[in-house]
Amino acid sequence: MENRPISSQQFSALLFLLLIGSVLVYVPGITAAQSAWIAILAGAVIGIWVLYAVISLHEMFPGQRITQISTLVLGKVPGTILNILFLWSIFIFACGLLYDFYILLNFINPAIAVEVLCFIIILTCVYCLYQGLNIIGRLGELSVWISLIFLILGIGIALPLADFSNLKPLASAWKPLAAGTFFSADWPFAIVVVLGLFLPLVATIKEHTKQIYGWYLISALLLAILSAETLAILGPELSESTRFPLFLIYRLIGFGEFRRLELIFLFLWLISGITPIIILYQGLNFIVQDIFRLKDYIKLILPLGLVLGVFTLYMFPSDMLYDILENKYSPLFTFPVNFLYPTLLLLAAGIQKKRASSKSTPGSAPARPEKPSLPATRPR
Amino acid sequence: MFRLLSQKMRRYRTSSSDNQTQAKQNASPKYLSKNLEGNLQVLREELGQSSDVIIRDMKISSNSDVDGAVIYIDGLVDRNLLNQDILQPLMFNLQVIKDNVNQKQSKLIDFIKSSVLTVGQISGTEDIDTVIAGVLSGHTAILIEGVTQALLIDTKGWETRNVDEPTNEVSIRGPKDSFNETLRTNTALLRRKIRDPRLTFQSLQIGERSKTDVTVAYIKGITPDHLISEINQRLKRIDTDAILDIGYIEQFIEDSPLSLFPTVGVTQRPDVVAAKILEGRAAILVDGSPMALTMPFLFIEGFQNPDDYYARPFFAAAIRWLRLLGFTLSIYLPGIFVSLKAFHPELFPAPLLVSVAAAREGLPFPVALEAILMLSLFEILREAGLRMPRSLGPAVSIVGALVIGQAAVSAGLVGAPMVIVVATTAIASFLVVPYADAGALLRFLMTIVAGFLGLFGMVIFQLEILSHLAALRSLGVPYLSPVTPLKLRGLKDVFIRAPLWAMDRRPEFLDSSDKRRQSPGQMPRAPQTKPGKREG
Repeated sequence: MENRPISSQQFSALLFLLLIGSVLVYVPGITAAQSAWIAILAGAVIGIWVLYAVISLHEMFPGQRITQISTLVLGKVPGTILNILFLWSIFIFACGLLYDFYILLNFINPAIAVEVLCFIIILTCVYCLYQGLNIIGRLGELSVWISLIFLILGIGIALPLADFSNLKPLASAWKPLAAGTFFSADWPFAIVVVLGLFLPLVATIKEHTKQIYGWYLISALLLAILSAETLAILGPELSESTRFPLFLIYRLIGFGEFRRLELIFLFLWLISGITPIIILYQGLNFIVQDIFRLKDYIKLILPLGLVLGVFTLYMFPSDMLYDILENKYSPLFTFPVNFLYPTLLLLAAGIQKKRASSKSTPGSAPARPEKPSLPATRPR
Repeated sequence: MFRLLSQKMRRYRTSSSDNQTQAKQNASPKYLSKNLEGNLQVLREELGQSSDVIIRDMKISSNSDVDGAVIYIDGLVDRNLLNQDILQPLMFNLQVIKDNVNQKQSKLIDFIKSSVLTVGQISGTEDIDTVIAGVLSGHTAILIEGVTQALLIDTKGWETRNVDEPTNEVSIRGPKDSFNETLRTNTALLRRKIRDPRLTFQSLQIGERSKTDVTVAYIKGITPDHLISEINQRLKRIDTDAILDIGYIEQFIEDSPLSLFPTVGVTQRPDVVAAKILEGRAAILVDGSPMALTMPFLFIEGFQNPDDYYARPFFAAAIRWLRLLGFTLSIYLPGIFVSLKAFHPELFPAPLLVSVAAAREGLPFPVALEAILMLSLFEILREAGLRMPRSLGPAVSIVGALVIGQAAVSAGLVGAPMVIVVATTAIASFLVVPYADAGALLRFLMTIVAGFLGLFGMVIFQLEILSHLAALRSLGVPYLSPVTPLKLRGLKDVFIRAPLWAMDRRPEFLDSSDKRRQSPGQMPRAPQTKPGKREG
């Protein structure tokens, strides 16, 4: 365990894996039917605002996590209330991802019980988190290339199966497109707000903001391509009704006598799927630490992991309930929270800054927010 | 509970080490007296009654009545040097000594040191412990009546092995010399390769009883100072009875002693050590060991071979990929076979599935157990091959090959596909020798995991290995550098081996003080011919 800041390259890799890994198992914005890929691009525009807000807050309050900024800018009580809402939103995402992940694995290998799968995943995350935060960064930096290779390979191999007439008519109705945009903005794009908890650990963010936005755009583009390809191969109806459309596509491809290549892509799913879980799980650790003002989050890792595992198993007893809760109701809560939380903080911080500068005498240097102390986190 | 216990242990360790240090400090140094017989008595008591300790009484110059004695350990000194350059000049009829004998006796010893003895390295000491330590390490001590100083003459000269070809790290184009068990020979081999005055050999003795000479080799101005001070700190922390091999040092100073992966490099090739020192690393040499340690040691170094740098780059890069593939196969292949057979048979193409199923028809063991049995059998054969007398080697190979290759299949104990898998794994495991041990253990674990959880378990286990590797450090340098943390320049010698003229900088991750190792732009080009003067 060590306290080395993660590099901006590693941070970008985590951002990429968070976006790609969150959606590998389904097509985001599928409500927009054949226009889902447009919905994804539109959702990415909304998500970029969240990313901008998070980075701006970090520049205004360097060394502070977004949850600490919340209490600093809004005050203890309102800040903590917002943090609790944020905690719940991240918790719902973490549960959803974990559920999706173990259901996919159970789908691949029905011989292993979901409970076993769930706790193996949780314990793997626990092991990675105990290694230290910079290790997550390094793991992300390693995994990003593996994911990219498999992703591009998958897109390339499946391309001959595509029938692009499935993508027509383009944006025929605005309502499904708006709904698709809303859902894709909710998941995966607005979830980048969780990275506001990691920004204080990034070594040189100011010089590398372009790199971060660049990786964000690459992820959005890849998601749009992936979703367009899925729609072109399966068609809108099958894409919407299939539980794991991408998995189905990889099942259709073959190489010589080898007809079942989807498990080769298991590497992609596991690496890209587990990294977002680790990020959200660590985010939960940070938020709980800040809400309860704990010195250390190390002791939270295992208990929170167990809570996450048990809660997920009980929260989604069936796929149908999961679909109702995760795809119908939870976006109505999670999107406003994830979108408005950084926006509100940025507004409040801006107003505070203006007030401070208007108070200072003309000609003198504008008052800067007091440099906050470093987060009381145990070195990791 | 565990914390309480570990705290108590730590406190106990601290207090006991403090006591030892205090005891060492309290032991007051003993000095030589003017009485020769008294001094010899003390030395006899300290050195014991060993038959190899020789105390030779003598008269300094034949005509004088000044008593003296020469003390040495038989077998550790060069007898010719002792007889011709020490005893002969001292005892034979030298007028100069006689004249000087009449002078003050304290000046006599200086005179002998400067004008009589014809040996290169001589030092004087008044401390009895220094005399004993010197004698035990192959020096010859001269004591003279009425003088409180002894002369320690470097007469080391024991039987040594010649500089042979390296047996563990064979190179096709590279030099054929390797280290032997004599520290001075090893330092000389390095000095011959790097004739830089800043090449430094920093020596110290470790081992309460063995007093083993340990040398840290580095180039001042290239190896960062903080690395050297960290190595010295770790070496000085060692408090043990004896260092019998460099492996002892390795286990005391490595960063992650509980990891399967080595974080200290081991080599027997002087050219490898020289190259690593020139990159900004440090090496440790130990008297009595034909190996050298290099630090920091990164994961990718296990895949690098001296021939990579002596051959042209394209083939070297291809071979490096082959090593990476071999290492991957050696760990995963049995696991993949087990998980495909037990959990995902649909992944086999239909004809292959049929032949695999036919080969396994009637076998008594589940596929995972079959794999573990075969892997264990291979490890038994490997270990037996290493330890048995050389003359028995071929016999065991024949028996092993027959048992594994034919008899087991004919008897219906294992299937032929499993034999192919295990044999491929075994051969692949020797492509990357530094990780052969770690690979063997991981192979077993991976096969067990595959037997229980299939491909999913393997990938999860792989993730854990990756995160463990990402957490490892060698002397503070991340083990997976330069892949992560990513250093683009460093990648020139990772997945490819860039041409030597393109590698103009030392590895960035080592944070060397002198970053550049050669001038850039040295790519060789054909001479420009003027238009109109072309041949043909």
